[in-house]
Amino acid sequence: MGLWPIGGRAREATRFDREAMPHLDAAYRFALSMTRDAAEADDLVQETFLKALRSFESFQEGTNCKAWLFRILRNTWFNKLRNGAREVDSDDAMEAIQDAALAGWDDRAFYRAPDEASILRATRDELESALRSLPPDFREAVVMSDVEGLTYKEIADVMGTPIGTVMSRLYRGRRLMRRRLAKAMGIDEVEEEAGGEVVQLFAARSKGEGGHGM
Amino acid sequence: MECDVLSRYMDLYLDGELAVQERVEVETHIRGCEGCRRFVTGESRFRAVLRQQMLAVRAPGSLRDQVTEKLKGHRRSSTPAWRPSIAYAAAVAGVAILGYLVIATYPKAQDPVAGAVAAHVASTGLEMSGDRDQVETFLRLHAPFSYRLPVADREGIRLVGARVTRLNGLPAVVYQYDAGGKMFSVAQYRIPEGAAEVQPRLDHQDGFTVATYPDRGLIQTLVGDLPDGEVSRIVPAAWTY
Ligand SMILES: [Zn+2]
Repeated sequence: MGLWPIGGRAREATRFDREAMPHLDAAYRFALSMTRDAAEADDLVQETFLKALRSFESFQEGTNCKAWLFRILRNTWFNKLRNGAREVDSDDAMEAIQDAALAGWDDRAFYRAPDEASILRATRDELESALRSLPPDFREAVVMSDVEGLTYKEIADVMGTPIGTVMSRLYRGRRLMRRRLAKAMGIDEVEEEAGGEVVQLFAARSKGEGGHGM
Repeated sequence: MECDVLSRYMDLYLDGELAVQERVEVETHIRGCEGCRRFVTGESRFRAVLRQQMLAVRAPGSLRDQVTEKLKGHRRSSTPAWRPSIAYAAAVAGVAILGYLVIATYPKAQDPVAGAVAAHVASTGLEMSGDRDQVETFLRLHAPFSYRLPVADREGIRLVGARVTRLNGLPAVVYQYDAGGKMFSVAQYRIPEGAAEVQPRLDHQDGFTVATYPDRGLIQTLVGDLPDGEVSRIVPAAWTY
């Protein structure tokens, strides 16, 4: 590197182009998953990159630039939400709902069915709407991990939470997403019971497969 | 390890967040337990589908232009003492060789990186999967040029398949490797007659690390979800400049 003598300003600009600009697609995807609206995502990404350029000195070389951009993006979005007084679901309330939805759920059942009858054949639209249906905190965690490949530590830094919280959001978010996906694809059987929803995926098939050996 | 313990460890296992010791325990259990093996394989395949589908979502061209314009405007307004000059031209030239501007200014059809990333994302469609010998047998019959396995055999890196295809109009071979559970691919094509010299370069695109480097008459582009350091260990040739 450093093939030419480059002045400080220009070098900073070059470094920004090299480090931050390749994450424009990722930033857009993350913005879409947060805003669930293309026009808002557009604005959010523009604002994020402008802020990032202004504060590029605070970016630590050698750390994940994508995660750093996500943090700026997320903070920017929440500032907007607060200004616009939009409603954000409270984490506690959502967790209670998730727990109810996941009760009695056996996530191994997803992969017992043959491929053609499983969530493996989900289309992009189906995957997108299953992601969209998740509560914001879960959705963000799942997108950052499963799509963008961030580590737990990086996600924790973006969200400003302990790693344990990231793990639990991922755990719940992933399972809830798969469940909703299966439901939307019509490959599970939902039974209403007095105590709430009990989901039995391939109920008949999985009977007698309860034990997994060892 | 019991099956219900594995259920709790699976996310960490697939996320690459387990320590070596725990990893070994999980793998030992999976080898001996068909139920868990199917569970982990299914989950990992689902994640690959999810990732592949979602990564196809990209920023619209108009957004890319707007961001570029905004950044330019900001640089102009915030640096009154600094005028476009030889330094600026040099900076742009430097970036053009080292990084993303090359993607922006290169005619799309000739940009080897863009094609390689798409090929990597779509690399589920391997024409053949198999070990090194099987891949070689396949390529001896089908490779459109005298190919060369791009990555030397070493511990922890396994050739798992290949396909013959065209990238940006050029005949190419795409190799797929497994580096301890993380997949990466290498696209290889012959440097066209009279083409400009290819400089080694490292990019990041869509969360992938992309290393492009010439190697004895061939261009190779490695695409993988790997840290830069790991890429430089895999292809030291890309770092000889
Ligand atoms: Zn088991």
